[in-house]
Amino acid sequence: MPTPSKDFRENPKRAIYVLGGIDQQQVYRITPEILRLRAECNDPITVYIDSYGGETLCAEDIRSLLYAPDQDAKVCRVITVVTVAAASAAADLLALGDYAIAYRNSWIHYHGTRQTPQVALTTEKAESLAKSLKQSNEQFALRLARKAFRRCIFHYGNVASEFEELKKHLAASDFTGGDTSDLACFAVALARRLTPGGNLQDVPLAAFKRQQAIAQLNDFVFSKAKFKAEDPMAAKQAEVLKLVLDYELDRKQKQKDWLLSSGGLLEVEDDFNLFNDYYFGEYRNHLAMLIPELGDLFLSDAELQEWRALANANEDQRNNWLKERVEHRIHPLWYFVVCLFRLLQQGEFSLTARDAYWLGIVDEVIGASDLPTQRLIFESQPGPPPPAPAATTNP
Amino acid sequence: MNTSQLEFQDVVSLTPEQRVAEIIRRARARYGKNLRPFYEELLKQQPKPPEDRYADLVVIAQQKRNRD
Repeated sequence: MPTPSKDFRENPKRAIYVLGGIDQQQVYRITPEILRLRAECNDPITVYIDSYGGETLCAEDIRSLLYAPDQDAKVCRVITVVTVAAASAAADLLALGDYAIAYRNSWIHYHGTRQTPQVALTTEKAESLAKSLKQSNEQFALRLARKAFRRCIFHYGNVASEFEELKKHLAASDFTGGDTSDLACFAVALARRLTPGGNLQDVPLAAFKRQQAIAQLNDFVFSKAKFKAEDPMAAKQAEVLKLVLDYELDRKQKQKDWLLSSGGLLEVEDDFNLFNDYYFGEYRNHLAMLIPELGDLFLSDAELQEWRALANANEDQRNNWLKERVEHRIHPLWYFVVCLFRLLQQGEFSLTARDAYWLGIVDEVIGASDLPTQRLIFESQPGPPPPAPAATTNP
Repeated sequence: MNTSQLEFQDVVSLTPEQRVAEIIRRARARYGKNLRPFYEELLKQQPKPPEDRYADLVVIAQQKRNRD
């Protein structure tokens, strides 16, 4: 029988309640409760959520307070729980918990950042507002993706048994453009588990297609590129732009009416931005952090043996060894998860608790006894051994 | 100790997430890339709650909320 762990369990005795709209009044109301709980001890704090969201800055204030270190540099673990609904900023707060739980019949709603302009809009102000919203969406997407990545790796191991069967279907269908890679199988396995009928099942497939598009573009660019790593960035970008143009010309050979002047230039610009994002986007910084943390989970069985033999090598050597072997495997999955959350920030998506589980927004759906959880893994292990009795010395 | 208990007594000082990752690492060494048998073994230990026979009403309420 599993041994309950407070690190993975809700606890109403050490909890705050985010009920209703998230605004300044809500922050004022729960600030004393957070401060009291932090001062009491360093045990986890449960955050119960039933909210349609509100101001993103206020949600951020609540999150910052929860994760503020005390004077001994200790930070409480945060368990987030959606009881009825978590929408918009409240959905972000839920996903960002150290362990996120959804009640069986709860629902989660995602959409992009919204802002009501306080002043009359001009062309310049509209452009600046659009840029700022795009930037906010990107920052939120990256933060959520980083949290969800660990959850997605967990799902990957769970659905991997279906890959062989899926490969046969994908090879014979146009579902993923004939792609039968593990990532294609993972995207389809996720889509199959999401609520059908709406736009949700399209999200993993659309994220995969973005990953596929960049893979094809990369193959073309890198098979022809002559630039060296040490060349100035401007020179490298100019060469990439020329190659992207060749790539589009190559693909559009049969389309007689394809012209740069009638939409083609925009496609070239999109491809260039895609390439630039994949190699130099902000999300790459996160990738560098993920490799030492989770990279060894991507090693083959033979590599895992070699990795174990390096246990006594210095940290830099180990990290470089790991980066060389797994970066090309972890990067596509990381980009896929980033694309998932970029897409969730762009539309309107209503998710059931189970949808949220499969998309990596929550770790556990209470009452869904067919969904494995990190809690179950943790609690099923034997506890630490009792301390050894103190050695007795002869008088 | 059953087969899903992966003898990780030496990693108790890690954070909860690091401990879970370490258990998954060891499970991978035992089960390979496909961890489904490991998860299924764990799920057997999970108590089953009674079914919610009125869950269809929740779906109706949710659809109404979305329309509103």
